[in-house]
Amino acid sequence: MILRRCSLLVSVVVASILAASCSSDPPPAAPPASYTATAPVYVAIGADETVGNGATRPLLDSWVQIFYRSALPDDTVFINVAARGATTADAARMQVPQATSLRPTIVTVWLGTQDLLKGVSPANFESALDQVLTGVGDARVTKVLVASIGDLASRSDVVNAVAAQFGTADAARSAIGAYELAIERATARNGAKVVDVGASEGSAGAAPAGLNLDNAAHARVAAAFAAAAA
Amino acid sequence: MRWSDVIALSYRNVIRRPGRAVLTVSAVGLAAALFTALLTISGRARTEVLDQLTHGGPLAGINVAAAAPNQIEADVDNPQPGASRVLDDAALGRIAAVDGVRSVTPIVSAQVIAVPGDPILLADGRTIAMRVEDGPRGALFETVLGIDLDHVHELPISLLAGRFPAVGARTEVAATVGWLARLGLDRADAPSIVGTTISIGATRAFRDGFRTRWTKVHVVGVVAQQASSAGGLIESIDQVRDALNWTAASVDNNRFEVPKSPYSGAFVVATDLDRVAAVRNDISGIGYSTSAPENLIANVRRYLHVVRVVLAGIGLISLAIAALGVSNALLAAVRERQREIGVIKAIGARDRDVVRIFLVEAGVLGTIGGVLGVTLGVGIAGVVAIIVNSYLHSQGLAGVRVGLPIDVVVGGITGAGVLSMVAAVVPALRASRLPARQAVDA
Repeated sequence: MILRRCSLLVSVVVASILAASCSSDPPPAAPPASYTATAPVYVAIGADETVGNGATRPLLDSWVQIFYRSALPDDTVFINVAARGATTADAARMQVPQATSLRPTIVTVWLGTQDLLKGVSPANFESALDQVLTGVGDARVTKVLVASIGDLASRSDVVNAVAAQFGTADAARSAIGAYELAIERATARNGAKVVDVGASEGSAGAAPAGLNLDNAAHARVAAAFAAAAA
Repeated sequence: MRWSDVIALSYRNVIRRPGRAVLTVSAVGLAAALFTALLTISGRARTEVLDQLTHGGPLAGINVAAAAPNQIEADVDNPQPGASRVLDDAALGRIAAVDGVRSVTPIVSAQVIAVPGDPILLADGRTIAMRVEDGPRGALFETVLGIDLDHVHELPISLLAGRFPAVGARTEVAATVGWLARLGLDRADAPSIVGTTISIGATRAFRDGFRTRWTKVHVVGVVAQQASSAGGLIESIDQVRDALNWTAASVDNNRFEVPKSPYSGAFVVATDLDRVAAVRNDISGIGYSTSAPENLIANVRRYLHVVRVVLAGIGLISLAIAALGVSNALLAAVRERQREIGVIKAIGARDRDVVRIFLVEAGVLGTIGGVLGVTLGVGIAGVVAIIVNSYLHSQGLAGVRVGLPIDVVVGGITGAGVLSMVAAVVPALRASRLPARQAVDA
């Protein structure tokens, strides 16, 4: 039987693709240009939240998968280039080259939490975010949606983790506020759109490993992005 | 004597003895019915059996693998292929140039991640949950076959439900029975899986990890074969090639093997079954392993031919018995109508006119019997098909289709008429040779 025979001739692909790792290697080579010639392409840039942290089954329940399945046209191709633990500078260096090589038509960006947890100053965060948004800007891109910093200031676990980098809880809250303003300025400068994910984080898990949204929170974030994309 | 007079006399003779005419027509009709039913059933059975052997593909189909041939495969239908070998466009071109090759359809396949959703909402309203052992994270590792949908009719696959993906469609997929099994469903559930959505992901290794390229596809049909031992999906060759290109661009990585061959196989159709062996030899000479059920098909065809001959023989015997009945009835008519024959000849009818009267009468009776018999025979074949289908469906198998075999219909009606006329030759000649005076005196 040809069908069975064919299956024997195909190599076995990776068994563990569910966990994307992060390293400081140089950016990878670009993929073949032909495969994105016509189809709409959605690329997700981000860190733990975008990888699917906290979702029971990230390939089903993460907000990017829900957003992709429910809000984007059927013929859309989706590649998630997010990496666990990525700061905005990491994303600018590692994820943006991958994203631009895919010639996306819609890009979502959710960054900032890891920057806060690692003590990146608001100014440096804003600069890196500018790099990200400038980098993904392309004639083919029709929408760039950027997640807000959310209601991290109201979460004691996050504030405590951020305070470890910024000195005090008040300084942490101040930094979170500064990040929010930085996101608004950077998106405005680059023609992107801010998506308010603040209300979606109410049931998130603990820092400092990053936000661990539960399934319900992932669904709410997906709905927020879907509304912004509509 | 004019033909109109001949037909009028024949008609009068038929209605003068309606009982005899009905019996004669019945004999011919029953024989024709038996003949038609046997040929229809045997013809359909032959088609169905060969379809099962070829999985709906052409009889002269040959599977070509992206692998080197082994030494003993010339006389083996399904040999074990040798070492993997790149099958590219150049190789397909050489295969297409082999004498006796009608078409070459390339096939690509890829290992992908399939996410069907959990729970899966079926078309009939049921929901099914993913089995933990199949995909604890809501994902299944699956084989997807890419085929040129323009040539899907030349491939050994057949539909259980729905349709094949449309040519050029990038969001449609056909599931296989293997996919049904992965979801805990069986063949009878095939229609209910049509309309479900699957996310299909191809993985590529980057230096900083793995990235998966996702596409969304809708299940538009279910085929009766499997794409792999584990399951399988079938979509357009372009879709699968995109997935392969994505994976093939991986950085060097020892966690999974990137396929080297652009095509995982090809399906070659020879110009006819008798050329299959020679074509396989030539393809082996080019350097690729082949398989084809030609020996099995040839044997089955021989057996089916014997069955057909036996069944046709039974039908012919019944027709011969019917012909004897026609002959006997007309001989009786000759005896009864000697005076009438004498009068006709006395007023100027020639011997051949008398022959024509009896032959036309026999031909009319035979043709009427043929029409009734063929109709009855097709009906019998239909009833048999219903009974057989109820059994096949109870076994979860596809039913047989009974069409109207035009050759059998035309042959049955014409044959019944001609056979009746042949049977009437002796009585007609006997009647024509009666001297007019003796006939009148009889």
